[in-house]
Amino acid sequence: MLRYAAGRIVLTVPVLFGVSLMSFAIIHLIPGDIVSVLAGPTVALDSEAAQNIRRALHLDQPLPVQYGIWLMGALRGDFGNSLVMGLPVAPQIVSHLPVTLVLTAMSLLFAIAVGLPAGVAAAKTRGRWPDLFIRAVALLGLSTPPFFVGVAAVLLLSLYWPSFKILSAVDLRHDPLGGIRTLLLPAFVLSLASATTIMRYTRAAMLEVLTEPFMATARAKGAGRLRVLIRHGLRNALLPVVTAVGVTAAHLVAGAVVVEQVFGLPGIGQLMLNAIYHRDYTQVQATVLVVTTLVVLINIMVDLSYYALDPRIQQHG
Amino acid sequence: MADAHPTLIDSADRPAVPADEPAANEGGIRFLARPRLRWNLPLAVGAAMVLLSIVLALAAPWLSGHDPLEIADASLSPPSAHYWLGTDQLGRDVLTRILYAARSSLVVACLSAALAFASGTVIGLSAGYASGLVDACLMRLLDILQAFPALLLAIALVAALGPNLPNLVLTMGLLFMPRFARVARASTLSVRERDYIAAAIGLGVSRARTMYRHVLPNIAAPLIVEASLTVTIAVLTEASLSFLGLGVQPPDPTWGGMIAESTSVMALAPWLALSPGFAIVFVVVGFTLMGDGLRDALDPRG
Repeated sequence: MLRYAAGRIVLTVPVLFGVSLMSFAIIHLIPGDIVSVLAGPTVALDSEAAQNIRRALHLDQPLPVQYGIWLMGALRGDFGNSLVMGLPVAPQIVSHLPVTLVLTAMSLLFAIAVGLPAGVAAAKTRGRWPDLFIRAVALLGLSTPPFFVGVAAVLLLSLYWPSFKILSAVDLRHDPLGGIRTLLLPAFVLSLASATTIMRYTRAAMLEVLTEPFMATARAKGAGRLRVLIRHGLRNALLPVVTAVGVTAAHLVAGAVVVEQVFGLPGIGQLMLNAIYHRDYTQVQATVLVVTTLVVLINIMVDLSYYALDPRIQQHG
Repeated sequence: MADAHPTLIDSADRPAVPADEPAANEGGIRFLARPRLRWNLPLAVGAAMVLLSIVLALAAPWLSGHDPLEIADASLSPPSAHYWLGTDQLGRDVLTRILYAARSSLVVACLSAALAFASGTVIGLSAGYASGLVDACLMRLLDILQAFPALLLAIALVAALGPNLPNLVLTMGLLFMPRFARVARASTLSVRERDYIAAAIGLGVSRARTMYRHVLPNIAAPLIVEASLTVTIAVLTEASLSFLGLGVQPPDPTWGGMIAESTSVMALAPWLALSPGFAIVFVVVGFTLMGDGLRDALDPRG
């Protein structure tokens, strides 16, 4: 186990290195002279403001040195200072992260709670109307952008259920229950696409397991229908579902950026979009780096849980 | 282990090949495999929806008596005989704007998918055919690109480069490229072991020509399927970006932008948000059905 885990983590180092390189590059992709873009066209290039930007980004150094300085800082949790506020960007990320994490986790729970039973039911009734119905709903769920579901949900609720409080402040630290209540609707909206993915993986895996001889054996020895389906079927179909959870984690985090915008939630998405609107690119690159690192870590955990769940992997390597 | 990309259609639902039909690519006799397209219901419905969207987008100036930027006296007028889907807060005809928005959405989605298709195929084909160090390096680069949540990187890149049509195509093309590279590489790895490739090499066919003439046609089917499914993701990504104000810029209409604009007048004109949303769903469902249908129609295992 340890060797497998260590190997998996070592493989991640070059990926994270590349991710940091790309995040660093974002600021240098801005066309034209960075200083005049960031400071605005009216600011003289030798003014105090322009000098501040040069110093903040170490633009007087060669590119590899700039990257080295930035990466060393990032490893210590110092992602530089905001180009707009002048304050460090790291505390901003820390204060906006909880909302996004709770939103994503709640969505994942919803997605599993809906997608798993739906996938089992679809596989069990394959080709008949419940299966067709579930697949049709899944097709719509996958084809509808989450922000549209969000806008439509807000619209319908405000028309037919005016007393439902959709947009209220989220303060997870002082009012965790109220915050979670507010996050229920956004989390549901965000979960739709992931529920579809989990449904598809579950259905495909269950279809394969249902034809296995051990299912007939379990049935023949007198186990109940539901027990066979869950204990013998679903348990053996769970591995691909774990993969689906890993796949959807990245989608959920990215989707959260948009859904937060619909519901005005103070999460990572709002932080990043505000930074973009204010041309605060140090904040943007730090946010991209932190969120992507989180997603990479989630995927490592999915891989490791794979190892824990499947004895076959343990034998072979 | 289950299929890596489970679809809404079962492999077992696939129509069986009639016994008298010769397999498309048997042995090493035919160098250019031409899999016969077996039409099925999702493919037909999806293709019809896609075709309809493209025709409507192309014919926008003739279908609508209005200009997408034309401002009428009646702002926020509800759907009527004159304005079928009503007007927005500036008094612009919503139906006209939806038709014109289809143009930018489809152009961005199809061009970025095409760019990803071309670059991904070249990279995947080279990696799979060269194998060894080249393969390992290219695959690690793809790992890095795919480590990012796609939409997050798209937002950051478009914001840095500047939101306009070429930058959208470039960014999304880069983001979708790994999908094609992986499909092309996996298919190449299986095709290069075939006898007809050994035969081509034995006949003294050059490396580039072997790849282009003998490997490429035999890995085309899964790439075409991937292209259709990539367009769906591209349409959704473009919609999300334009919803956030990072798509094609106003006053030119975009579906995402129209939904974003509608939220400020939602209480007065609830119909404004719905029609562009349905347009997105229609196009995405069309391309999804087409992709799933193509997967069965072109499946060489059939």
